[in-house]
Amino acid sequence: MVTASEVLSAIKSAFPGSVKEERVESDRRLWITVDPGKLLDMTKFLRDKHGFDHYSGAAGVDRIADNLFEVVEILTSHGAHQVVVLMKVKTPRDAPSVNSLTGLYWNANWYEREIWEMYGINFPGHPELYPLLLPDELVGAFPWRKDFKGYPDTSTGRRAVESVTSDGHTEFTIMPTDKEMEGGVFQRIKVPNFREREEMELGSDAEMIMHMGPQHAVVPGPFLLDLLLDGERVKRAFLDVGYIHKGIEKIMENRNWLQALVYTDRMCYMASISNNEAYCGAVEKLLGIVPTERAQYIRVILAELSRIQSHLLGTAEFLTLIASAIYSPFMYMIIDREDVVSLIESVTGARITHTFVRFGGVRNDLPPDFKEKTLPVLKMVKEKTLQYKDLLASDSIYKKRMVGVGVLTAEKAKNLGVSGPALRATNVAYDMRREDPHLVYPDLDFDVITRTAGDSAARVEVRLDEILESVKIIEQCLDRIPEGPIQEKLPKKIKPEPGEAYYRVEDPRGEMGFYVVSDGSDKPYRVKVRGPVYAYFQALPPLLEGAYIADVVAIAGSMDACTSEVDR
Amino acid sequence: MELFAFVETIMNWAAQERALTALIIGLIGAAILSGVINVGAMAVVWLERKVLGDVQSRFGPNRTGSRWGILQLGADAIKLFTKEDIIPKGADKQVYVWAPIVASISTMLVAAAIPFGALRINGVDYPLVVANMDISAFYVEAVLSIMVVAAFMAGFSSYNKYSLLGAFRGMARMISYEVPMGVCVIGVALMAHSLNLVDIVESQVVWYAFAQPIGFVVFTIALITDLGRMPFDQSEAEEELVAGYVTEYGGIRWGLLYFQEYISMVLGSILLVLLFLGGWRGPSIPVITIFSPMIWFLMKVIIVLVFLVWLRASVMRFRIDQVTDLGWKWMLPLSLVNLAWAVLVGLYLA
Amino acid sequence: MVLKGMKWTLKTAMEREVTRLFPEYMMPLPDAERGIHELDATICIGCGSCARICPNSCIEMVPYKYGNPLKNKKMVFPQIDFGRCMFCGLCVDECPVSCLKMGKKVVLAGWNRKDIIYSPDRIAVKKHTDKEVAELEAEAKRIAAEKKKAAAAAAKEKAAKAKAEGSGAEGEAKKPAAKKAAAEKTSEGGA
Repeated sequence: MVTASEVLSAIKSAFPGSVKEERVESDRRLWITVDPGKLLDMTKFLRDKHGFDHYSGAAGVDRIADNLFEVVEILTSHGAHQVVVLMKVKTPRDAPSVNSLTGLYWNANWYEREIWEMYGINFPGHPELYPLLLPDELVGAFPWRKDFKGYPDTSTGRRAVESVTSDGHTEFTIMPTDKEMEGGVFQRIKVPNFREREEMELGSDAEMIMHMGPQHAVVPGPFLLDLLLDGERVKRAFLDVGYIHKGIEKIMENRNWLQALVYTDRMCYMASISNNEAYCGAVEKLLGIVPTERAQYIRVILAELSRIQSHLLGTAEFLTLIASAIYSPFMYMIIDREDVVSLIESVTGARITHTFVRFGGVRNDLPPDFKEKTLPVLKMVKEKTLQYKDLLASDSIYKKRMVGVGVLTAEKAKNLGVSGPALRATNVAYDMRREDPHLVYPDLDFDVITRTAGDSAARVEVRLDEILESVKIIEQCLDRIPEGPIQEKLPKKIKPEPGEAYYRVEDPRGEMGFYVVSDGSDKPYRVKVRGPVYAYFQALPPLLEGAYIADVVAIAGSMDACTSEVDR
Repeated sequence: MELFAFVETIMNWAAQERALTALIIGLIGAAILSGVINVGAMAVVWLERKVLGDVQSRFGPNRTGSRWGILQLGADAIKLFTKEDIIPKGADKQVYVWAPIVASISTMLVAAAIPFGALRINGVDYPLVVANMDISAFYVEAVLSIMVVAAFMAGFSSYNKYSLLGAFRGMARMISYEVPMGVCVIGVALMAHSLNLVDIVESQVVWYAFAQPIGFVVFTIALITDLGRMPFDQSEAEEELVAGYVTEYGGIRWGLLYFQEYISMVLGSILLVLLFLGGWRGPSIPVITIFSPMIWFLMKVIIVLVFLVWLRASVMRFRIDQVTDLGWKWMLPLSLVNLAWAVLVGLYLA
Repeated sequence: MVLKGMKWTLKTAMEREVTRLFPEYMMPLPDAERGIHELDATICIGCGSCARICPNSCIEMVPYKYGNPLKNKKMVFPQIDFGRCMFCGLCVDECPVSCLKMGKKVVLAGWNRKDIIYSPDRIAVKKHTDKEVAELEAEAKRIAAEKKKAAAAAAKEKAAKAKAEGSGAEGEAKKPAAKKAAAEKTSEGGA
């Protein structure tokens, strides 16, 4: 088994003198700060020689006290080993620039776009540095910097200037400040409008651009999907997100640690236990405490119940996409889900946004009759899931619509950066519960479900089978749960030591990670959420080329997306 | 006695002015007919909403008009009448306004030639039909396809990409299934030796559903496709196309188009019952002999309607290229096979 | 082909409907349910922890009459704006005396935004009556008066002690006066 210290020594021997700081947190976590000039070479070395083929994400941190920007790149592997390397690069605040990794990893695209539009860090080598979450006129405002004064800038009134180019397109330009002009490194930001970018692609009069969104029935949550159509076939798809960008990560910097917990529920409200859990896990690492054992079992039980109801809802919603809302099995799945949600409600008190997991434990204990109420519900869920699987496997119209539609090969899925059921449907067994064991998952006996086909039908099958696995896990937990306290003793004011932590959980949609930075005060310094659906949306345009319109909804729906998590 | 004298003068006048009398009787008949059909369609919409609710473990309408929600459709109609009439700016105004009217014309033309049951007086069945034509089966078949024109008019004139795609799909679907439907009707007419719908019913000693099973199945599937019901409602797929060719319609214009769909559903089911399921034939019920064919007829029509609604709630939708595949590669050859079968059996029996 | 789906729907059509006929029948809610808050005004100490922890700043401490002035010196109680409340329950967790709980009432509608700002009166489930409040206020006043007297007496004694120790000559002259004062005090204390 490759450990973090082995990777560290390999890096140090290949690139002597380039590693500025290092911290081996455990066998699975390695924190290094590297020389910016050597970033590309080092990443290439890790990818080719040591199997780090999964680019998990990147975060930007504004260290205004040191007059620096930091960019943290997160590199992991799809099964070769379990080490996570968090590579930090520091650039000066006046002229920030970090080499882009899009040449090495295809899915680094959106992460770097977001850091550019929020912090102003330039990424030379990036193919399309356009705004992602912010509207066009906020370009250049760089809202997540610590000295952001609002838009328009209340002290200087600086905002983007709109102009029309010679061929009729609209452009937004931010005039550089005097200091930047003196520095001479700053790149003038010129951004053509989204619509104009699309229309540049129109080939002939027979093609048209059809808009699916932002209001549409495809996935819950608004995002803009424009299809360049040739008859009924899609030639290119354009995706724009950011319609419900609430700025949660910045809000969390202005609330104290406990208040910030509330905002984690609202990111992916379908499965809010996993969001809570990831945040609390990261903060517990900073505080250096471990939750009590009973609390760990309760967290696992609730996480699996949440997974069951999220998969039922995802599959039900997806069925409405290929069969209209009148389709009866959609209703039956919702009816079954009611029982599961009532169980969750009896423990946490709320149906979707639970705010249940706390630092060092959980909020409430299980009610006294929980086991008696849960076992019949689990039995019913198991029977009905087997019936649903049977129905979908034998329905010939379903097979005609779904088999062979939206096929992802394992290589393509890994390059696109997807995780979760979409990746497991291509025969890659990548599940955070096994890759990054946390809570009591190492003691439990369950399988990681995979399928080989990689098409939409396989993805739905993986989800239905995961419901059965979750039932198994809950039954084991109910047998093994010990008595005891549900909350560790915590100090009155929560003030973790200055440091940082990265914690990963298995959200029903894939790999979710929380990167938390603390500077010793009672407010988080930076919280970065690495959501699984971000990668799905990034992967959607290449996947949709050549599909029929009716297949677009089938593919997008089978990915089981949740837009709120993309936009945060 | 003055009343008698008055009536007598009217009858004398009518005997003289034959053409005018026929016209007046025709107009009154048309008014009654359209009233009956619209009420029938309202009942069918209520039936659909209730049956869909039953199948999905929920109630249908259950507040307006007692626990059965009978007045729900009336409430919906009032709401539709009071909406603002919005015509899109780039729409072709004349075509846009005439599309629902053409759809209504199509259904009324069909209703004029279809028998709505019969009354049994002294052992003889008197069919209730407004215009008893010699070629009524063929005529009904032809006029049903005017609905295609109406859908296309609605989709094309709306100046909207979704409507356009819905119109394309609707046209492709309807056209590819009119042909098998027509061929099946010819198969039935061959066995009945007549194109008159009344004669076709009266010649069904054995139901044609058993005598021409392939034809029955093909005609049913073609009918469901022609009506635009699940699993063939691609032109109104809500998730992909917002609402298909009716996207830009609102208020009572939309209500009219929506209603025509249900009226043609009723008329299509009646056609199916007449052609393949024995129409109003059935053993006499003792006390109410005069109404017994009517009761059999209504029972069969309601069973077909419930089947259509049940199908809607239980199956998924095809993709449009799969629909046209099915139509040209499977339905048409099968209907020709059925035609050959009908010819052989007809020759053998004759 | 599609027959399995059709058989299943036919079977369901024969079964009972699962719709809950709200608002005639309300579903049974569990004990842990986080509904509208319930305040026990007899225990609340007015510390304001709930107002400080609320992430949306929905809670404001306002004056309210029917509380316990012995426990709640400033007589301020929480007023919750349910237009902003997201029912997260952090206020309940932070309360040091557990006087704020969340109940099972979940029906919350008003005609305008002012209607759903619940004053302490609307969220209080236990409060004192007028008579009790009058009694408690009187008690509080008495205790306050006693304390004031004790504080004044202690101050005087301290001053006297300081004077007695401070200057011996003057003290001798003042001794009879101080003794007299001490005698007076003891007689007062005794009486």
